[in-house]
Amino acid sequence: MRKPKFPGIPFEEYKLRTNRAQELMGKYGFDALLLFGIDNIRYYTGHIKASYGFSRRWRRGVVIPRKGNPVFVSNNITAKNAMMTTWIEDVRPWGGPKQFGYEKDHETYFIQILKDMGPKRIGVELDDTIQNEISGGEFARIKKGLRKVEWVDASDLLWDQRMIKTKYEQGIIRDLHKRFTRALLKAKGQLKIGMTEMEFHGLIFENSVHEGIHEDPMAGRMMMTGPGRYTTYIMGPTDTVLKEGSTLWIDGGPRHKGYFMDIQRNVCFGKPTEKMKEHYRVALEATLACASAVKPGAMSSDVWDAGENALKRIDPKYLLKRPSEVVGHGMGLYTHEPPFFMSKESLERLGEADRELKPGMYVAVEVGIVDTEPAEPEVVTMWPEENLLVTEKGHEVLTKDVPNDLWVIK
Amino acid sequence: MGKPNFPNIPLEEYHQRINKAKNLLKKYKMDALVVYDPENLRYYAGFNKVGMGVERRWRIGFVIPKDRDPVFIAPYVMEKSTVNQVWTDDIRGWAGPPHLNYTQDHEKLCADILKEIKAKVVGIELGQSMNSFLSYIEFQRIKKYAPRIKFVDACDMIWDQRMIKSKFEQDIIRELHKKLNRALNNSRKVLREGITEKEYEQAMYYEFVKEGMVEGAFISRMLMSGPGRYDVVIMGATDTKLKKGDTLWIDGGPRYRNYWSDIQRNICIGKPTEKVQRFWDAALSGQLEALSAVKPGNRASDIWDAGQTGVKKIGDFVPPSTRCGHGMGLNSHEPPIFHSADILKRLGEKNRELQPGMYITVEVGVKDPAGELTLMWPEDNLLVTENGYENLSKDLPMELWIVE
Repeated sequence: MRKPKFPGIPFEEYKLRTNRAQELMGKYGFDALLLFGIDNIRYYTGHIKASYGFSRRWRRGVVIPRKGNPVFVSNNITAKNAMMTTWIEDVRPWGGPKQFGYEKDHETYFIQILKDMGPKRIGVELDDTIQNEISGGEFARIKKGLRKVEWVDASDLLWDQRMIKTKYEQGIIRDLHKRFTRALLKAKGQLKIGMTEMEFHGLIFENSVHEGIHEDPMAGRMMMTGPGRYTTYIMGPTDTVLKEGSTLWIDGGPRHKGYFMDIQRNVCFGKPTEKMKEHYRVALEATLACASAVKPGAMSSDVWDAGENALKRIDPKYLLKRPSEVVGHGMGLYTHEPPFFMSKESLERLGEADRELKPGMYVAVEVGIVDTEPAEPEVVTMWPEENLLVTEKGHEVLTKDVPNDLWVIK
Repeated sequence: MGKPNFPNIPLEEYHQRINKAKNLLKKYKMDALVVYDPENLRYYAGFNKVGMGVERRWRIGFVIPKDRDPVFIAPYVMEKSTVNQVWTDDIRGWAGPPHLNYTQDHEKLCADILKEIKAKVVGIELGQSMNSFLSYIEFQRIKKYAPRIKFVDACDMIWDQRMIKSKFEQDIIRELHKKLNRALNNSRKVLREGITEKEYEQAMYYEFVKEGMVEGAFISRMLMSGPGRYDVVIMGATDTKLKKGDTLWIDGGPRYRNYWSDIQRNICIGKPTEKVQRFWDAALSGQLEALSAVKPGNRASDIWDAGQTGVKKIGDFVPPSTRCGHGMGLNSHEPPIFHSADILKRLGEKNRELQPGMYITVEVGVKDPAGELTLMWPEDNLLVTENGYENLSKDLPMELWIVE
C-alpha cells in the first residue's frame, strides 16, 4: 500500500467512504461510479483541487467500481499531487509531452478502465444539484467509447452518503465553528458606527486568517445587506458607511478543510427602533422553532412547518413577510446540500425530496422577516441562521456561542 | 436603462462590451449569445456572483441578442441583488412561491426569450475552456423547449472579446499588482529558518487583507512546492517546517475586483548551493529571453521557443511543464496559452498572435530530476502594449529570495 506523504483524509476514513459507496452501489444497482465533481473527488479520495482551473486540460476524475479499488485519472500536472495526497494505488496521469508516454486524452483512459471493469450501469453526476466540471463534449466522447453501458444519474446515491457526516467530518465541522465563532466575535467587538460594510468584511476576513481559516477563508464573500438595499440578498459588502440608525445583515462563513458553514446575524447601529426589535424577535422565535423541530425522524417539511406555525401563533401577518420559501438546508463540502427545509408544496413543485432527518446531518435553519411597509424598507430583513448537527436524540447547536440576539453597536 | 445603486462596471464600459458582443455575434453568424458562466455574467452584465451556489436553484443567465437589448434571468431570491448591480433593464425572475407568478423553469424562460427574439442560431458556452455551471440536464431541457434553435459553441467568440482588456480592466489589473507586490514584499519579511509553509501562507493572507483584497483572496490556496515534494505542483501549503538548505516555490495570487494574478517566485533558506544557483540562473535566463519575445505580432509559440533558447544558454535542463505562460483576466487561465507549436497543435489550441491589451503571464522554469531542489520557476504578469509589454511584477524582485 502506497503511503501518501500528505493524505487529505486518514486511511480509515478513505476505506470507510469507499466501502460505503460500494455498499450503496449495491442498493442503487450501479456497477461503478464515474465522478468529476471536485467535491466528490475530495470526499472519496481526499484530493484537494488547489487551483482554479476547470478547462479540460485540468481534468481529473475517479472511478469507483462496485468491487475492487478505485482508480484516479489526473491531468499530468496534478498527478503527483494525487499520489501525495490520496491512498489510491492506481493513479494514471494523462496528457503532457510525448516523451512522458501518457495517454493523450483522459477520455481514452476512462473508456479503457471502465471496459476492463465491464460495468453495465454506471452512475455519473448528471443532476443539476452537483457541479461535475466535465464538459458535454468530453462526456459525449466517453459515452461514445462505451456504447453498451447505461449511464444513470448518481446524485441520489451521492447525497445518500454525503448527507450523513462521519465522526471525522463532524470533528472538522466543530473545529470550524469554534474558530469562526472567535473570529466573528472579535470582529463584532471591533465594529463601530461609521465603518463601511467593506471594512467590517475585512475585519472578519483578517480574524479568520488569524484563526488559521485560510485554506480559502471564503470561497465567496461574507454576504451583507445594508442601507440602501435592505431587501437585497446574495450580494457582497459595499463601501456604504454604517451610520447611526442603519441595520445590517451578514450571511455566510468561511471554509475549513473543505467544510462550509453558513451563519446569519443582524446588526443595528445605535439604539434599535421598536420595529427593528419586533422584527428581530419574530424572526428569532421562528428560527428557534425550526431548530427545535430538528431531530431524527422529522421530515424536511416538518422544519418548515415549525417555522410557519410559530409565525401564525405570533401573528399571521408575518407569513407574508418571509423573504424565501426555504428555511434551511444541509451543508458539508458544499454550501447548500440536501435536505432542504421547505413546505411540502414547494418541495413537490421544485422536485425536491421530503427527506427524513438522521443523526450526522449538518444543517442550517433560518427564518427571516422582511420590512414590507412602507414600500421602501426602513430596516434590513431580520434573518438569523443557526448551524446544527443532528444527533441521536435531537441536535447540537454549533453556533450557540455566537450570541443570537440583535447586535447593537453603540 | 436600469439605474443600479452599486454598479460593478460603469455604464460606458457596459455599453462598450455589449456593442462589441453584438458585432461579434454578426461576425460569428449567431443571432444571440446566452451565458451562464459567472465570469461571463461579470463581464457582460456587470453582475458579481458572490455566493457559492452552483446547483440549479441558483441558476443565473444573460441573453445578448444581436439586435436588441440584453435580458437577465435571475432566480427570484437574487432579483434585487441584480437590480442593484446591473444596467440591464430587462430582468426576469424565475421560480419562487406561486403568488409571484414566475415561471418555475429557467430553461423555459430562456427558451421563451430566444423565441421572442426569433433567434435561429444561438451561441452558448459549450466548449471545454469555460465552466457554464449549466448542468447537462438543464441544457437538454432548454433544447427541448426550443427544438428549432441551433445551439453552437460561443467560446471562440467570447475569448475573441475577453482576451483584449479594456482600459477600465487594465486599470483594475494595475491596481491589483501594486497591492500584490506590496503584500508579497511585506510578507517576505516573516521568512526565517523554522517557519512552516502554512505560517508563511498566513502571513501572505494578512497582507492581502490589509491591501483590501478580501473579496475572496483565493478560490484556492497560494500554491507551494517545498521539501519532500519538490516536483509536485498545484498543491497548497503544508505544515512542513523550512530548514536551512530547503528551497520553496510559491505560485498564484489573489483576486482583486474579480481579476486574477498569477506570480511565481523561488526562496532559498540559507546560502544557495552551487546547484541551486545554477538552476535558478538557467530559469532566469529563460525567463528574460521569453519576456523579450513579448510584443504584438509574435505568436504564442515564439514565447516558448525564446524561453527554451534562454535556458539552453546556461545548459541542458528539463522544463517542469510544456507551457511557459498564459492569459488571465476574470479567470486565472485564459487564452493565449504559450506552448511549442507542436504541442499547441497536439492539444488543439490556437497559436495565437499577441495583441495590445492582452494580460498574460510568462513563466519559464527548470526541474531537477534528482529532486534535490524545488522547481526553479519564476513568473511575471504583463500587459501587452503597442510596442512590447508593461511588466506588472517589476516591483517584485526577480531574484532568488535568499533567507539568511
